[in-house]
Amino acid sequence: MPIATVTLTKGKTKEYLNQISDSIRNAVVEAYLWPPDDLFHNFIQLEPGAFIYDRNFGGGPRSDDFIIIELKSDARQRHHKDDVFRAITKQLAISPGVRPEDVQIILDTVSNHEDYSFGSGISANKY
Amino acid sequence: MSSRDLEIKKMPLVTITLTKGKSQQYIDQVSASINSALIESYLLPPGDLFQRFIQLEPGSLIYDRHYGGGPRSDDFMIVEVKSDARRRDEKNAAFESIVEHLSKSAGVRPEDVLIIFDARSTIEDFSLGNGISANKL
Repeated sequence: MPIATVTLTKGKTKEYLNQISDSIRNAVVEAYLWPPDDLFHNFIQLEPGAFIYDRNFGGGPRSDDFIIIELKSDARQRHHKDDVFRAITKQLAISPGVRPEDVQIILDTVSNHEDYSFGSGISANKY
Repeated sequence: MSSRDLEIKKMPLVTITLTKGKSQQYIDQVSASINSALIESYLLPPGDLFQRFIQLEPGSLIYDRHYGGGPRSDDFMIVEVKSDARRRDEKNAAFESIVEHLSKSAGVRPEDVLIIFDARSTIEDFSLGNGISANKL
């Protein structure tokens, strides 16, 4: 069970956000072997002045379309992490056309299934 | 491994949560203060700057004015720093340094600064761009 939080600057169309969501979902299905309907994304859309980042540190050049994707899941092996970095970046370049330099990804793989409840107050490890 | 490689492997993401209504100048001062503090005490290179400000409606940031400290004012802020693992003395140094810089350069009262470190990440969990893990830079 993943949750993806996408942080970007305000002003994008709904279509653009949907394409980002679809691309992340496709990448996670491909690289993390998640079922396609395991979809929980939230978008944090910040005012331009509230999103502060270096344009070149460790990569770049980053543009105004810079996004940070935080992907929270259960534990993953290093090669799966490398796969998901590549897959997300590749899919986003195809649709909606986000430059690879503009995609920062942070994985959080310390949760267990017992830490999640999809709803109704039942732990995900009881499914 | 060169010193540059080591530097690149320090990257944190900083999230600052506060109540809406501050000027861009104030945001910029808070941003610069936190970055200076982390460079000074958390061994970040100067260009390592990734911050987001979450500015909530007044009724959306709910906190006790005195628990474990205070008194907290309407200028209360929560600073979350996500990074690779740090030793306790580095965390303690960063707590002090962040509060000191915020007080000096942005006029934030030390009582109004709650700081949370999330130092459980490993470098392989970060990609700064181009789909490449930071541990391969």
